[in-house]
Amino acid sequence: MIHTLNASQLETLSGIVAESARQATKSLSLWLGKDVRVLVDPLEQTSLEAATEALGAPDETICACCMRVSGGMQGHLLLSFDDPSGLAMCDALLEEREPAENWSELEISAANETTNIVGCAFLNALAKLFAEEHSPVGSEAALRIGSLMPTPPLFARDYAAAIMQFLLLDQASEVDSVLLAKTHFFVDATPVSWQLLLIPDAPSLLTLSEKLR
Amino acid sequence: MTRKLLIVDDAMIMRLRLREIAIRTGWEVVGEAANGENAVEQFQSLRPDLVTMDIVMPKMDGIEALRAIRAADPTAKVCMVSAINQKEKIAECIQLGAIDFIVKPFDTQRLESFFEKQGRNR
Amino acid sequence: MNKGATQSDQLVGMAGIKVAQSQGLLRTLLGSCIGLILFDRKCKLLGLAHIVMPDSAGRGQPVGKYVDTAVPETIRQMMEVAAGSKLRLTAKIAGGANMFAHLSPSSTQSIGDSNILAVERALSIHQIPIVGRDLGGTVGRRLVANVATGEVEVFYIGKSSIQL
Repeated sequence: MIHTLNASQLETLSGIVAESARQATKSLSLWLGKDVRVLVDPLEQTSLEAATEALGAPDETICACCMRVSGGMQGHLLLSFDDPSGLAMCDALLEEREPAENWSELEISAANETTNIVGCAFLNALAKLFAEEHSPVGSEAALRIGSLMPTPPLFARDYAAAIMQFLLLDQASEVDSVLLAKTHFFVDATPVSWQLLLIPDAPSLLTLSEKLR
Repeated sequence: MTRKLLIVDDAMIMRLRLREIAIRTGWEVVGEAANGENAVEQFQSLRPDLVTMDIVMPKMDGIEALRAIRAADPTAKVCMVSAINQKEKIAECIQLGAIDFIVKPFDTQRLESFFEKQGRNR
Repeated sequence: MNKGATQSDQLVGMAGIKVAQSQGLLRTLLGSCIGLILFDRKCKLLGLAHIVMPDSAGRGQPVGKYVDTAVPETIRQMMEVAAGSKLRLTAKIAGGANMFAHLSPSSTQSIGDSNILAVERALSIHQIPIVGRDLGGTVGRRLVANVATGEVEVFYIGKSSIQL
């Protein structure tokens, strides 16, 4: 089975992912009332072991809100952050109270809704770019994948490696390398340790490798 | 007479924001639901004048809830308030009878003028 | 490979296998994956495999990824280090959590369970008794195995660790 993408396919897809992430940060800026920017590294096909470190050192405690994506492309979409940057995000949304020190129901709700907003905006842009006949990133991208629907996000606070294992399982069942792009977020020009990851499952990777010429 | 609103969204923070804007524009929030199933139940018992409906929710999504509410009451006024902004989904909601589709994150003024307009439409 | 006790503290990554003797610690992080620890008390020999899937279905590589290849390979590496000494192995197993249970498609939901069954079956075939287990649940595990004693401590975020 072909699950690996060639250099040209990776470049095309990297362009689509980066543009979608930029679109998503516009929604995030409006939602948080702050200037949010993102830099997206080019997509990489990496080993399972290396991929488990995408969210941080294996034994680092991270928070992650995860959604499952269905529709034309399937997989998982995740927004992760460490405690300080996650709670700072909640403080920006919940202005009229003391800064949060722990994850209560309200903070988790704020993190999940932020993930819903940034995740949906990312998927909206992705679906639109894939559907365009003359996509700004090249005509190779003109493959129709239809709508992309996420599930409601679920929050977890756990070891980075443990969270990644769950996310990688769909791809790991069929392939030994995974496709991912790292993101670098800036809020009011200050870097924050957020990470937005889209991890398509193995059949979706196959579809991409067939359709992205 | 104050008009009655049912807010449907799985996110507590979003329900708080919608509630605040609705009350400011003269609505009475008679109920809040965090999933589609509960939204349909509350609609049946509360018969609100307006429903704001999220799409991505557990148990039953907002499109299914819209379908069920419109089947129970073809005159029901439901406004979708969702982060999903994809042509097929918006078209599906309008076809099912949604009166408007507001994309999250919304501009507060956009929602205020929507609530004010709906408040006048008796 | 990792023979002897030259490295005292080693991290075993996804689909990895490491074997160490005499002293030191082998560590791994487990979400949905299974950590298999094999130990021989007399030789103070310990092997740790980080297993991802139940069945290789003929795909041989990477050997540490699948139960049916990882179990014999861990035993083989341990026998190589033992250099002819007869091994009396015992096993401890941990992992197989499902952190985002509601997000799992039905196929991945069962992988944790399938992994557990496959490991138990493979150990039974090799007549290795399971002397400790900590499986399932919805949270990740940090596992630390003591090479000299075979003791295994399992850590969680936000609650106390347990000894296997």
